[in-house]
Amino acid sequence: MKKILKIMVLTTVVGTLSFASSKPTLLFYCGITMVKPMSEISKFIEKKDNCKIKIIQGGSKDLYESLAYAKKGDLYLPGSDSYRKNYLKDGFLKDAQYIGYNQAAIFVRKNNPKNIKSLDSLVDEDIATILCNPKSGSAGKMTKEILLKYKGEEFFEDAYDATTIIGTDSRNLNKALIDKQVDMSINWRATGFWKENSPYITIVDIPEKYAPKKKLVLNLLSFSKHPKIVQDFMAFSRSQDGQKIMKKYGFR
Amino acid sequence: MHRSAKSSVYKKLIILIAIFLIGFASLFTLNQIFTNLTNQIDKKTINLKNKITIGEFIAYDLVEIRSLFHELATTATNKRSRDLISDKISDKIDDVDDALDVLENGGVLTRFIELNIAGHLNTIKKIAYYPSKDKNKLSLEVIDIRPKLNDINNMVAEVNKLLEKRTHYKKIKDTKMFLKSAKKIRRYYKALPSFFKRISENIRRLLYESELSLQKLEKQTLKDKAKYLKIKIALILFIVIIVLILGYIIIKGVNKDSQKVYLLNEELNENLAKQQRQEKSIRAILDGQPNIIVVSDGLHMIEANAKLFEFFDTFDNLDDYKAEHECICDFFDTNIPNNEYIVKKDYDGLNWAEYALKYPDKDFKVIIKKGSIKHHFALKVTKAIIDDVTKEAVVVTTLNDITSEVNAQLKLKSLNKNLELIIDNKTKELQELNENLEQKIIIESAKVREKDKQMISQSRFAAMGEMIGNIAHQWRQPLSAINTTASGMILQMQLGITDNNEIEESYNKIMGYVDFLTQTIEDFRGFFKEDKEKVDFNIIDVIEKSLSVTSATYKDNDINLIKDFKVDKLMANGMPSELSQVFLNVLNNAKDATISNKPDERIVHISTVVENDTCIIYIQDNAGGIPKDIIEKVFDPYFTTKHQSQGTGIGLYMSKDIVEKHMNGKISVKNTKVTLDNKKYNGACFKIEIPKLK
Repeated sequence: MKKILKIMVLTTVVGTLSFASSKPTLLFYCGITMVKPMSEISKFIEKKDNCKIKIIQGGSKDLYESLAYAKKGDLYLPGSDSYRKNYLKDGFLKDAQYIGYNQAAIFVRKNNPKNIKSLDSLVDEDIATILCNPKSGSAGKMTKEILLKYKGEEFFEDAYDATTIIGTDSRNLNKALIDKQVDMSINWRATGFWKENSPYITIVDIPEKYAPKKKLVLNLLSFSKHPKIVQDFMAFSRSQDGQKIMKKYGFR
Repeated sequence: MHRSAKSSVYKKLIILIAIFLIGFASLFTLNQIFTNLTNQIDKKTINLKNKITIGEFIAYDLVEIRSLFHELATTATNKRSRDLISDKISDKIDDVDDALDVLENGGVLTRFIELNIAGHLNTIKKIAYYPSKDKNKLSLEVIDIRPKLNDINNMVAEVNKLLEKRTHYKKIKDTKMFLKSAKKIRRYYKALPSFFKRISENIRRLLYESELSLQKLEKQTLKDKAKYLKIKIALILFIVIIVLILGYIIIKGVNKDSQKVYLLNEELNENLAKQQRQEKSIRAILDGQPNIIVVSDGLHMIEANAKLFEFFDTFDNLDDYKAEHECICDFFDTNIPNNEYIVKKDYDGLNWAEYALKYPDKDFKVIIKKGSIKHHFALKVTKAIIDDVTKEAVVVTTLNDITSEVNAQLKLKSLNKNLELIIDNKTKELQELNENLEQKIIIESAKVREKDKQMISQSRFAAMGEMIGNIAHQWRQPLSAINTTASGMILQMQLGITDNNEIEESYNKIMGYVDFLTQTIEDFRGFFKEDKEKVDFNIIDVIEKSLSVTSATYKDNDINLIKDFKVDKLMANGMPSELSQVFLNVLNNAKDATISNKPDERIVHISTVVENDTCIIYIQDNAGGIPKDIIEKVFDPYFTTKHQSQGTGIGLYMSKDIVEKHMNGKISVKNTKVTLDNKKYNGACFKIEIPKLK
């Protein structure tokens, strides 16, 4: 009798409560720069495929280290395709889908009060800068690449020696600029169009020879348990609707 | 019926109690289940809070590591102090690693808390945390932080290397390299804040997410608790209602059964009273019996009537008796050489009662000694089935005291011998009487014959009397005519007007009258003449003569005689005078009947037919017939319906004797209906059948 009652109650009560948690859950390691469009696309896919997508955001290198440690997850979107090239040998990255590109630019305070026009301002003592740590995020890695191309290692070291703050990702680069801690930074230009950033930031383009476009590539992880949903995700991101979303957030 | 109803009540009461107990147990179990569920929810909240606490520990550890990192470059002036700080960093990394292990795999995190309180050197805090058992669920804290711990270790090694180089250049006084080395260290430390900031951000983000989860969980907990409470109340209500409904149904059933039991109880009490009355009646019947009656189950006495204790007056009741004796047979006299008496308790394996039952047709007896006196009893043993189903039976033994009869028989035997002598004597006397009786019978028979003769004689005299009456009637008219004729002649002679022709004519008339008278006398004489031998004669003539004898009487009494003779001759052989007596008897009876019953018109109808060589003469009157109760007796001797002065009861008896014995014929009578001149008459019809002469 007790057993029957227990089963009855548990079936009716707990059973109904646990229904919601029976959806498949996907883990998406997403570079922080692309979080906004990816969140929107995720919502669409969640609805379409009746699933839940959990986004872990952060620097592209940190994210890769995390997924390599956990060996769990479904999608990885770094800020640059160079990460795929570098990490492909590990075997964690499988199918890929190009969904747009990233390009770095000089970010200055709104209306450029310091009249910053080139990368040379990075070593100007009157200008406070923030640069991304090349060892954590894609923005840092891109900055290093730009500075090395621009004037070589010495300039790169001087720029980092001169910088006021070393940041970790595109988000805290923009935050330092909005908080007026610094006058200048190098960041992914897409983030400059975001509504929370655009009122405070003016973008100064860097010639493409120094700052080439970096492909954004969605990677299916080898340990994914929901490859079909990942394929759906990739397909939608590449579709017109997906591209609309990407453009909405400044990704071309 | 009563037992089943009672049993049904008990069963229902047990079911009722069981339902209430089950209901109570269900409520208790339900409460336990919901308490467990609530506890589990609370445990989840506590678990999540512990997770946050562990996260906070990790955050503090990272702050300390960062601080130690700075100590390494600024305060450590020699290798030993650098190693010491490096070890501290390594320990802290281990602490973080342990915390991550608990977050990842579950368990209890033990931390030493350094307090500036005396006696609290080893204050320990233990935090238990158990992550979800879902293998697919990730500990994001671990994923985020664990890779960084390796980075910190590498960074410590790298910083130590840089510091050693700087110390070396200082020692060899290479200023250029020393400055370059110092620049590298500075650049390195410039990047440290971003590194630790990144980790701290991760930790804070995770703490923030955990806080959000906690808030969500707490909200959910409140919702779940409210939901559980509602479900619990609903289930409790459901159980209570079900129990109450079932209880109500059962109580109703119990009530119904109780009423039934009450009614059955009353019925039972009535039946018991009835049974008691019946038992008293049976007891009264038993006690009222003149015989001793003992009821047993075949071996042991069950019941006995009062006669037993009247006989065995030393016992007051059956219990007293049974205290000393098991069986009535204990008192049977065993010293009697007579098969009629039961003298043993056992007869070839059968006890005495079974033996008696085996021979139901035998009249068994027993002798029971009471003091020195032997009492003889006729014994009757019967078996009665008292339960048709179980075939349970009782043996009823009846002892009828026949002592006085037995003694009387003994006396009778002694008397018997005297009686035989007396009978012999009496027999002799009877034989003698018998012989005398035969002689007396012969004498009496002769007397009877004589009497019969006298009767016949009387009959004849009676008939003769009738005849004389008839003669008187016959003669009256011719005598009167003779008188008138003779008186006329005398008167003519006295007047002198005598005419010879007239005298001759008167003479001839008188002579004619005399001839008539003579013929009449001759006719009457013929009736009383005893025929010596049988002759052939015409029955019609005999009828006519009989009618002529009775004609005057019939005329005087206005009796219309109707003759209906189909033939002129009906020849027969026999004694005609005797047959004429028969006709006269029947005609006289018809006359008397018509006179006596006074019909409107007196008719006697006489007819003759011949059928199958038999002459049949019907003499029918219209006097209403002979009553049914006597019609069979009219031919019996001395039977008459007439006044004693009129009849002797011999006439028809004699007529039957004459027709049947002397004429070989038959005479019978029956009441018939006859239609004459379109009128219907009822009356007696005598049928006389005489064999026709061939």
